[in-house]
Amino acid sequence: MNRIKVCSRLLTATVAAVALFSAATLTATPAVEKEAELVIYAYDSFVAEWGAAPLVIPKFEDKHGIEVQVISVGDAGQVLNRAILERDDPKADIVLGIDNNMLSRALEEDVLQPYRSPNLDTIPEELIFDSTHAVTPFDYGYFAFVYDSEVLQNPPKSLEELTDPRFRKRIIVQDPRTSSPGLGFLLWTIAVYGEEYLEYWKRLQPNLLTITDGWDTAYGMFTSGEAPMVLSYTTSPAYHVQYEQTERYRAALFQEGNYLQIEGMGILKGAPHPAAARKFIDFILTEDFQAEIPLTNWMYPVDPDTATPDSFRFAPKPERSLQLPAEEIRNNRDPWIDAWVKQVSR
Amino acid sequence: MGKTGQSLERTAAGPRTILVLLLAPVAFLLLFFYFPLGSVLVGGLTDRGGRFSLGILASLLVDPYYLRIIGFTVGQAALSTLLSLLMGLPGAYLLARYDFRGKRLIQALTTVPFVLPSIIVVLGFVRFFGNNGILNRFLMSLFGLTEPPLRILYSLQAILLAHAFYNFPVVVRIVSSLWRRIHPSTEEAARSLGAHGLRLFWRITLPQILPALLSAAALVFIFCLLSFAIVLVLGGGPRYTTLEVEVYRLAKVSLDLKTGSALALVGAIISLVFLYAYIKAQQRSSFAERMADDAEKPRLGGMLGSVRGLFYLLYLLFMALVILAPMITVVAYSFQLRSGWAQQTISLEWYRRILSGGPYLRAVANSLFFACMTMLLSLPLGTVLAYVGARSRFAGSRLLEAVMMLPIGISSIILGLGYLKAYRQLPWTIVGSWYAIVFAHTVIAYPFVIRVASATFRKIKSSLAEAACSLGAGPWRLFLHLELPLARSALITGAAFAFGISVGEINASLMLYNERLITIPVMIYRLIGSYNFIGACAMGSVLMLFCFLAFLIIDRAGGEFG
Repeated sequence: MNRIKVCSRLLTATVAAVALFSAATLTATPAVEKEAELVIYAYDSFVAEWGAAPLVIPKFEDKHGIEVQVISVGDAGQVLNRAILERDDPKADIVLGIDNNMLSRALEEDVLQPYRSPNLDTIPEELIFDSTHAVTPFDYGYFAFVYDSEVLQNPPKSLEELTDPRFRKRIIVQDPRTSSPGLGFLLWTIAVYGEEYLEYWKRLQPNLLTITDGWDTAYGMFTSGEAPMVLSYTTSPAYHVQYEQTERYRAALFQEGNYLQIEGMGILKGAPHPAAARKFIDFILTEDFQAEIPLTNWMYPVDPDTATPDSFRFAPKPERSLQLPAEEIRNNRDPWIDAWVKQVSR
Repeated sequence: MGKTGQSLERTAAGPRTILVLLLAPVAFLLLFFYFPLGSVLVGGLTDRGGRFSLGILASLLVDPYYLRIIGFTVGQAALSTLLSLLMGLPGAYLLARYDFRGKRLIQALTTVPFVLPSIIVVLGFVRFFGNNGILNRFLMSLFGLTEPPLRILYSLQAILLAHAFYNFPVVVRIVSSLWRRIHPSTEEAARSLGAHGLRLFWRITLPQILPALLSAAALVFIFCLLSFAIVLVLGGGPRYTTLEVEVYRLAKVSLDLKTGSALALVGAIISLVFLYAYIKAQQRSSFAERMADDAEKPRLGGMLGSVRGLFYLLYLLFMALVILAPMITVVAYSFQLRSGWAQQTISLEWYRRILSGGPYLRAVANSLFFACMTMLLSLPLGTVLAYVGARSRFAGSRLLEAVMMLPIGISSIILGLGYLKAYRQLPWTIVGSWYAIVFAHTVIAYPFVIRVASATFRKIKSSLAEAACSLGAGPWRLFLHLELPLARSALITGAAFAFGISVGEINASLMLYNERLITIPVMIYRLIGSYNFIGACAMGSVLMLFCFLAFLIIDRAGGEFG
């Protein structure tokens, strides 16, 4: 009986200690936060400690004396989701992370208000992907197949060459139903092969080791050596150069071109702080914001005058960039995906 | 059965007591489960004009694509459950019937996979069992092969193996916590009458452990129903797709909440049907018999010379391979400096960063805090509901019990969406508060407490309660001084699971957290999303260590039942 008591006390004491300790750390940050004067919904990797937010937000706050609150709402898809969910009573001013594939959905839901920043004048025309200016671009990148140069001496040079028998079971891609690079790759094959895209997937299939739910699993399997090639971004090799001092991972550029992804942000209809939001949209196009993009978001800055770090020598830009019109994506995405699922389930 | 049940109803828990007992848990569940869930699911049952309609639901149920997915989801869950039971039973037997050094360690260790985020499980599996994994590399260098000899992954077997890895600890824990309370004397008597081996097990042992076996099977089955990343990645792609993938697609990628919630509803109904069937089966099999104090157990160490001992040893080795190897692989990866294989550089860099404080330590502290709070909330909640479920009979009580179990059959994506949607009208924001996360975790965790506890409550001999009542003990005293202590071992198992579920939960946390409330799984998700796989593995190792310690402490606290 004594032992029961001792043990129970031990348990209670541990639970209490942990609860107290955690409560202390929870309240260590000021309990009453200053009223935010600008609220931004962003995807998680933007908000993370090593993301862009910790670098760019203080700059903006210092410059304008505006208190900013950045809230992570999961991945990019959820950013827009949350805005739609809260359309009647928006809690945020800005949604960050709407890309060219999501644009038509955002416009259709009519949750954004247009604002054309004067700073857009210096941005290349082809990157301004929303002519209504509801969404303003801040970075861009290309999907690419990244390979391990220690295993593959002779990487593929085209989408068609990916189907070569020498890559049998050596490629990992993502599922367009659950992953944005996965959807990007599906659109890529449609941009290149049009109606024949299912034929292409049929040829590609023997070479696919597996199709993962998300980019993270696929890339983790790739760096674990499970397959020497993975669907990712042209900028991925730069990460390994910058933080792991290794050049073994390379991005393959394809003759047909690589599929383009442009990311932007927009001001919500009914935003509580529209004036501050417009200041922030102006700010993202300045050097202060653009210069931090390469090493935090692993994308190219939209401002052509912003220099990229040395490691970006390993983040090559393709000669041709591919894109499907937003409207076409909106109308056909689900039938395309359904047909794709049928094809690869065989 | 009916007779003892009735007499108990009169003595232990009259209708009024039941009402009082149920008040708090039902209020909690209404507020923090059914209300948010309803606010999402109602979308699947209304047309665009907001009128009630079964149109969306019906259109899903005639679509051959969805029918195939539903069929596969149920089929793989059934197979995975069977495999988990087969793998878990010998372990439950060993833990219940033998003493050996390190028993507690093994018990705590086997529960760890259960809390790991599935992405860590996948990476661990791939690094160990993969075509280029440790096992294949070892075999290739041993036999001088040029091609990996074992093609385990990217097949249906891989899905089943990973599910068993995830879930067989559930079987071991739940079944052994009942098994150790059953006195071996019945088996000894049967043996002396000539019953041996399978016959002995089938006729004598199995009926006695059946309630716990069914409990474990139900939990494993529903866990596998909701499986997602493991099925897709280790199965090799969309050929193997579960319902959850489509719910994810509709709710998070296509942003089609209407169809998404209709599909989630289909999943919930399937879960409900299975839960109901299993509760009926459990009630039929449960019978009152003696709850024994533990007898002296033989020591395993003394038997290693015999054939039986050898079999046990082989079993333990096999378990170590399936359970420990993927986990150790993750830990080993966390000490690397660079991605890839054949790295000579071993580094403590990530552990230095984690210990240096900041967000990593905060994530650890938060996770422990949420887990403790979840444990403290779900333990009384689950205990009360299990008690009422086991002690009362009224029309529809089984259905009610099934409905109370529903949270484990609901995708946490849908639950998280429900929290976001339902509480927007409140004057204060619940999203971003620590209790929103704790409540969501509690809702996900308490069914485990119910299942474990009710398997034991049903086994408590009614004559014991009747004796106590005839000596003048009221229902409260009966509960506090007789039934609760008898169910202690099961409640400790339930507490351990509640802790583990909270520590490992990701989907709902990801929707409800803010910077100050970051948890270990959210941090892992972040790290993996930013190329930091090594950091993710380090954080995953920290998660494993804390779970291991926590389970050890929880076990110790209840250790007097050994």
